[in-house]
Amino acid sequence: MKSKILLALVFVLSGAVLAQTTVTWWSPNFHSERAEVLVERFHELNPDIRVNLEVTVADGLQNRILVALRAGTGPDLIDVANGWNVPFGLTGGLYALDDRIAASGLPLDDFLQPALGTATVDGKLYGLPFRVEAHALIYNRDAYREAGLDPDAPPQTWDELIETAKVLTRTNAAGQMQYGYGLAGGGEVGNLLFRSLPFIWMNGGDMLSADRTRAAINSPEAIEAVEFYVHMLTEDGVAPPSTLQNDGAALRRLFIAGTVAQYQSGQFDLPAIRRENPDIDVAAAMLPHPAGRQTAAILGGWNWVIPDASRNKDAAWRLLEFLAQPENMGFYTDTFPARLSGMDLPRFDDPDLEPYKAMLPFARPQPPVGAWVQIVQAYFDAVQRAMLGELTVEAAMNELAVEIDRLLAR
Amino acid sequence: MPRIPRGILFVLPTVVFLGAFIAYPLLATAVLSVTDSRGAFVGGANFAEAFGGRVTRIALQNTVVYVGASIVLQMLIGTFAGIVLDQPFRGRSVLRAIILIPWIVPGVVAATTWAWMFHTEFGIVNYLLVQLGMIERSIGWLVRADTVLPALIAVNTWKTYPFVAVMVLAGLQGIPASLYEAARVDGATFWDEVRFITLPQLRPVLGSVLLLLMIWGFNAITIIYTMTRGGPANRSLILPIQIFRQAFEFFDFNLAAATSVLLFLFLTTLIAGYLRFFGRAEVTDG
Repeated sequence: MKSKILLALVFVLSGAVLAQTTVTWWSPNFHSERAEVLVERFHELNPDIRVNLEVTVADGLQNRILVALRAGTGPDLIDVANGWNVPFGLTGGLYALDDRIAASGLPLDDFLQPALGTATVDGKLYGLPFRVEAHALIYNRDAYREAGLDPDAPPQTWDELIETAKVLTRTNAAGQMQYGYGLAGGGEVGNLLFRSLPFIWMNGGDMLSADRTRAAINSPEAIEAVEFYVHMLTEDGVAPPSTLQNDGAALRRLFIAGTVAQYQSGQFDLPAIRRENPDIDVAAAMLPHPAGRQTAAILGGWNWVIPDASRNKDAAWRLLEFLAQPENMGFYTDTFPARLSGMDLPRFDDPDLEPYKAMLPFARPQPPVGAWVQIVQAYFDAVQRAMLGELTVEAAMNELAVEIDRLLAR
Repeated sequence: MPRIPRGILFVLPTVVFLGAFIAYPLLATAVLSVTDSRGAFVGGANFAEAFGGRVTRIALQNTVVYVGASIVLQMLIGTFAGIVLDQPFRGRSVLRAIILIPWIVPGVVAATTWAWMFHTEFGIVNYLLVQLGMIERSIGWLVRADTVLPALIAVNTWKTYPFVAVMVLAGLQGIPASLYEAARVDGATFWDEVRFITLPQLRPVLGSVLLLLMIWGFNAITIIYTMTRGGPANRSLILPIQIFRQAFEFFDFNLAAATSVLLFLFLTTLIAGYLRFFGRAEVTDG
């Protein structure tokens, strides 16, 4: 009897020694194909760790991660959009990486600095950026030629943008109504923010005051920028009547269909446009800015986070450290890598990407405040009210400022 | 050991089930609505916040219009369709099957399809109306303040009237033919029969259907969330979507719980009124 127990004990112990640590990694479907390749490489180098790759879908992902963080039963490594990182860090449930980074000697100065800002709460890093991107102006070169514009001289200032958009707003050669500029005015709340907040920044305005305690959206600079955006629909008539239902995906569709000749979006739209309509001669340019000022963009991208509840933080960190190597990060990202040294990879040597690379230094993170999601929703509602003509831009921004102050005070 | 009455053993599973899935969530919501995210008691602060925001009032107003108009149309069209389908004609069984399609199609699929059909630029609705010369140029059905709710009400009615029709049809088949025969002997027309036999006989069915439509209507978010997400500028925002936003977009579960309690109280009042009206009517009828 005793020997049997001993035997069982030996089996159990030897099993424990041989057992691999399993790390669960949530990667969204648009990253997962490359994740599989990286996991295979990682397994070869780290036979004692088993990575369990779970593919997530973008729709509803933020909620799913939030629930996992709250319940404390989630994965060990998660890909999160950089706009969610600070809110998650503020509500708790994320593991601060500073000590691990210091111990491993990961060179933080090799990272795009604003990208680190998307993961920082109270001076601590609650995530590691791996993917960065900024919008640029996408335009239809054929539409330029047809309208008598020079396709090699896209607009650089706001005045030029409006002039170009007006010339492009016409019945095109196919007898179809074409609009000069596609505005995001509906659908995904974030899409409207990404396409209009940069105009406010370029003009010297901002959503919040510098100390992030009050609204600044009703400053003259901010109001002028929102007017520039809204008036393209309501006064200049260069945006299509469907504007209030168009988000990023709808704009791309309208561009492919030839209804819209210019709009702003990320670099991932270019191959998507060419795939669906190989006849369009499409190009990108830096976002136009007010004369005498600089351009701006919101820094988009994705970060890796480790939940505080993870029981395999050592193994999760080893996986993260492996992924954060410049060549792995450069391989994994859909757009650009957050590490500057990753930019040297041949895949980023593409003339299409030049304007996007040039936009990156002008990209800023969204402000790290807890009520940001509510503020963005209120901003979205206010811009829509102005677009509907329910209120002037100035009145809408004044009401919005009151609402933002209320949200910040809670 | 005290003897446990056998009856308790029999009701225990039901009690446990109801407790776990009805009483507990209800109580948990009530507790959430008067606490903050750390669980500290805050009294009516969340309710003040729910009422204080401009948006909740707009949502309540939209909800009443959306649900009210949908129910009236669903009842009218559904009852009419049910009566028509009860008449003998060629192809009746085929039509009975076809009419069910909107009810069977998954909500998200139907709503997405309708959203594209109503799209300003690509939508078939605008295309047809322009081709027929009924409108000069495309209308932004889902982006104009004055057309968005009517369009959504139309889709909601289309989606649920088959249910009313089927229930009415079932109710009609339970009416004894002798009543109609007697009426015809007395020289009643078709409309007399509808008015004096069919509708009164259908009353219990219509009452139950009305109650169900009310409960579903106030809790449904699929169509609006899929088609407009409450936009433009909250013109189609209804309370369930506002609650969803508060909970899963703003992560403010306490505020969402407070709004839920408000919706619950509103619905309870409505149903109490309904029970008074229909409950009493049944007694006098009986």
